[in-house]
Formats: sequence, C-alpha cells, structure tokens
Amino acid sequence: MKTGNEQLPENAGTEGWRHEFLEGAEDAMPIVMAAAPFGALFGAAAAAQGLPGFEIILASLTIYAGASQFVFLELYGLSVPAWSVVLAVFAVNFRHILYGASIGRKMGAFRPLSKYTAFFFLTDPQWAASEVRSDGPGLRPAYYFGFVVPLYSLWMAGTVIGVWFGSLIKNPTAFGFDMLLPIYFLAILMGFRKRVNWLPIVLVSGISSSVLSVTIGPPWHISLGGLIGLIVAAFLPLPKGKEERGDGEDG
Amino acid sequence: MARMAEFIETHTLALLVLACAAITYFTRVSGYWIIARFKAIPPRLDAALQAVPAAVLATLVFPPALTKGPVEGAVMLIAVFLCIRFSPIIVLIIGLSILVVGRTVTGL
Repeated sequence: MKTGNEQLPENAGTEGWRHEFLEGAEDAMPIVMAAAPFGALFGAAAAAQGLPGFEIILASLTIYAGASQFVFLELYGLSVPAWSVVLAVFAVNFRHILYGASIGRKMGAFRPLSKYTAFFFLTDPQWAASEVRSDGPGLRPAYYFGFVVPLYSLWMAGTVIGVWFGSLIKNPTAFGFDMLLPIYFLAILMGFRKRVNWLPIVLVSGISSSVLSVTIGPPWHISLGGLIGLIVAAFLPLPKGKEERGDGEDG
Repeated sequence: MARMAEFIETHTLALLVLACAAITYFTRVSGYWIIARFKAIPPRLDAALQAVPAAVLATLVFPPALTKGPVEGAVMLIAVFLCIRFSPIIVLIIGLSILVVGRTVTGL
C-alpha cells in the first residue's frame, strides 16, 4: 500500500501534508462548536451521578463516542449487570460497522498503523466528512487526522471542564446545540444528492427510521433504518450507461 | 484467583469503561474487516455500500426533524433549501439562529 505522502504531488512534501491537515481541521470547525459543550454535558452529568473524575475522563478518552457514553452513564446509574451495559453500547454503535465497511474501502492511502489508529476516531461527523473528502480530492491521513485533532481535543477539554464545573452547566440546549448535529448531517446528506438513487434511498431510510424510533425506540432505529435503505439500494436498478458514482457535473 | 477477584472488585467501573471502549473500537473496525475479506465486491453489495452515506445519514436526520417539534421540523425544512446555496457552516449558523429565535418567540 502507498502512503499518503507518496500519493501527493512530488513537490508537495511536508507542505502538502500540512495543507491537507489544515483543511481537515477547518472542516471540523462546525462540529467542534458542539464537541466541547457536549463533552462538558457528559462530564457534568457523570459527576452529578457520583462517578469519580478519573473514570469519567477515561470514558471520554477511550470510548470517544458521545451517544454510547450517555447510554453507558444511564445504564450504570440503573445498576444493571455489566454485560447489559456493554451490549447496549454495542447496540448504539452498531451503525459504525456500516461506516467502517464504507470508508475502509477508501483508505488505500493509509498504512496499517494509521488505518487502525484512524478507526479508533471514527465518530459520526468524522465518517461523514471522510466520505465527502473521498468523493472529492481523495481521503488521505493528513486530512483525516487534521479533522481528528481539534475534535478529540475539544471533546476531552469539554469533559474535563464538565467534571470541574459541572454544576455551572445548566442547559446546553439553550443555544440550539441539541440540533447542531442533525442540521450538520442534513448538510452532508444534501451534499450526496447527485449520487445514484439518492432520493429513494433517503426517503426509505428516513421514513423507516422515524417510524422505528417511535415504535421500537432508540438506538436500533438508526441501524435498522439504515439497513432497510441499503437493501433497497442493492435491489434498485442502476441507471443504464451511468457510472455507479453518479456525482458527475451533469446530475 | 482471589487477587484477581479483588482487582475486579476495586476497579469495576474503570474495567467497565474499558470494556465499552473495546466494543466501540470493535464496531468501528469490524465493517472494514468484513469488506476486506472480499476479493471482488459483488455489484449489489457495491451498490449497497455506495448507499451507506445516504441511508445512514437519513436515519440521523429524519427522526429529529419529524419528531422533535414544530420549530425543529420547520428549521430542518428551511435548512434543506439553505443547503442548495450555502456551505455546511453557513447552514448551521443560519439554522441555529432561526431555531433559537423560533424557540424564544413560540415558547415551544
């Protein structure tokens, strides 16, 4: 496998790496706005539940998945058996299997070590931005880790602040931060609208996940709704004479 | 064995955190492992994988848009049209502003 640097233009060198890294960091900015408040919310909620600071910070450091950490917190508070906490975290994270399957194919520019490091940081926004990048100039480690560094740092900083000043953080939804990720994901979703069969897949997944979210409830509505969309995608006819990636200029 | 039991007893929470971290990493890497086993990707599987962004992102977008409330639903609808013209960061700034104003004005 080739390294990221080898795939860059000859004269790019360190300068090219730096440029791509900064592009990743720049694309992470809208998400970083949410990472710190939500990290703080997690830290504060965990501290309020009486968890020791060390374990709270360990959770953000090693799990690094917002939704799963809140599920972990909620179930730990109910003092259910340990295996059921782990199972719930698995259920919440099931969608990541789809992310890995999709983005893993586009990581040709990663060495094994950077690939396996990259998977550790594969959060929802990280994955979404990487998909967009791979459709454009191609996904390379510099861009990927440029996105990781501010996001992970601010998530950790937020957690620590939350643990320390937990009682000060009353209502992070006041600034609409609870809708930041849905709006961001909508923007990314719209960016893929030139892909083949985009609209039917979006409608099938979107409507079935909405129905599932009010019937069976979270977290399975995401994975099941997504799988229904993928099954439909597999059986929809592809437009004749067109490439599978229908993201050309004409669209 | 007794010492191990004691270790688990005193570090239960930290060990549980690490177990959750391990299962999270496993879900992040396992999709890639499954796909890497294929020498050639069958066309239907390829079509499904190409659809992962649209299918999964839709499940993260539709439920909050349809079930959170009228203000949230309206903001998401406006954001659809904003996305045609503007970059994600601009859509976020306008969308969140409308949301905060809408919540304050309507009290919902």
